[in-house]
Amino acid sequence: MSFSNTSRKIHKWLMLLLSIQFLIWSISGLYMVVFDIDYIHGDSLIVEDKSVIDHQQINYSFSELLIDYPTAKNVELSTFVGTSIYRFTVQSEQGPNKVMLDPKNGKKIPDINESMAVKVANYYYQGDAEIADIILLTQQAPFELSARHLPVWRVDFDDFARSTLYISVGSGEIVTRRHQFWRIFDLMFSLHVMDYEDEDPANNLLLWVALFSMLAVISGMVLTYYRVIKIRLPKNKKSAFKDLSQKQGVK
Amino acid sequence: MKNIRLIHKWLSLVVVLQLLIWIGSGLFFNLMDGDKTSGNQNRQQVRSNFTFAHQDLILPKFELFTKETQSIKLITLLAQPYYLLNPQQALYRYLTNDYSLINAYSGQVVIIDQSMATAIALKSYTGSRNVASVKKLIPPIDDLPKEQNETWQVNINDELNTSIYVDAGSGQIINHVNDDKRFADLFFMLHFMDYGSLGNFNNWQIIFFSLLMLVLSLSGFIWVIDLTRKGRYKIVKT
Repeated sequence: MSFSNTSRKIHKWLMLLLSIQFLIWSISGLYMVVFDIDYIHGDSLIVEDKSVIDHQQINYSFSELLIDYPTAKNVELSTFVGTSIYRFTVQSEQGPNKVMLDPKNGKKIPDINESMAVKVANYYYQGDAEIADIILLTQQAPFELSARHLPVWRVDFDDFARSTLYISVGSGEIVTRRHQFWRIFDLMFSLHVMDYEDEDPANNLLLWVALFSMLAVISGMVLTYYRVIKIRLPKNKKSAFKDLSQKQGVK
Repeated sequence: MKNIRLIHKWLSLVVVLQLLIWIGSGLFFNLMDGDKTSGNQNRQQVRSNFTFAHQDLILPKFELFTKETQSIKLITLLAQPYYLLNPQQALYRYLTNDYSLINAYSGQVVIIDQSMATAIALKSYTGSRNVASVKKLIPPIDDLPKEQNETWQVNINDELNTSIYVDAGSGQIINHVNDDKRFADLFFMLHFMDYGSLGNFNNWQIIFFSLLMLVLSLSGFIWVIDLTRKGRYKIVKT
């Protein structure tokens, strides 16, 4: 059996099993490179906030804050829905807790309630769609949200991409932005890395499929050489003719 | 069917090298040790749980600010408190930022110089502290393709040629990069066809080759179905 013939057999049989995965790799890969990654991350879902700190309103200093909250970490003075705000974390038994203070008087700003969440979502959302749904998530995070952000308001918009903003109850910040194209991207990525068994770090399935795919591609490369390149080289005209006549059944 | 076979053969000629690279680099990602290729073998968390002299912190003097400010963060660098002012907060840290750094005790504006950058870098490093060189880099930076801000590069004389990157504006540690990470990054560059080293996979060459690859896979898939229908997959030799 010739080298070319062996390669043909290997390629033919391996691809009987692998061609579907090659198709999956191609489709998922194409999807991931065609959609701009910044768009996938939802960067265009929110407006660029131009609000600046109004220093006329800052009557409560960083030192006062640290005296009142000695364990405060990551203290930041910034803006929230157009007005100035202090935000920081304090360690509690349940883990880090976000706190908001009013810099005018140092008073605590209460946790974000539903009507405030609506206001925040409409302020930062870039688009004119209406809010379709709003739910408070406290225990279970959906697959598209990291559980460390809980509790959050999930705000769904009635737009083409079915956009969702997740707003932290403790800090009022938009902690995650998602839309349908991200959700498809996530699925495509799982398909691309053959992540069919959840959280299998070794992913031996991918390893074996990739190893056999390598063999299938190398055998295909040999075939390409014989069938596309070699038969066109001038010195092999004779064998090309032989090859052709064999195919047509002429001896 | 004849045309499908013809397309498959000719496309294979165009795509085959990149396809080998894709599968080869894919195998590498599957086998690589994520801890080793993170670049963080000698990185340590910089702890900042010491107590401030709260009463000595001065409120930032807003009248001194030349720029309007979106965010003021109280940070610590080398066990000293600083206010980090940001006039226009970018969506991501690596996008252009125009920080001002102010000593929170004296109120003086601080520029991160070579010795300060080196000290900050070494605080995050656990190995033997043998500094080979320190440079201030202007983007583009080879090890940090997305970075748009001026960055201090502190090169350590260790086995892995670790480079520690410190944001020249904010004094924050951006990253540790070493030869293991650079080796892995080479494979990412190949897999993403990021031959311009822009640090992303939305480039025209990969979109073009992915399209060709899809046609190659599809034509091959149709070929397999055709062979199956014609009964050409037989275990026993005829």
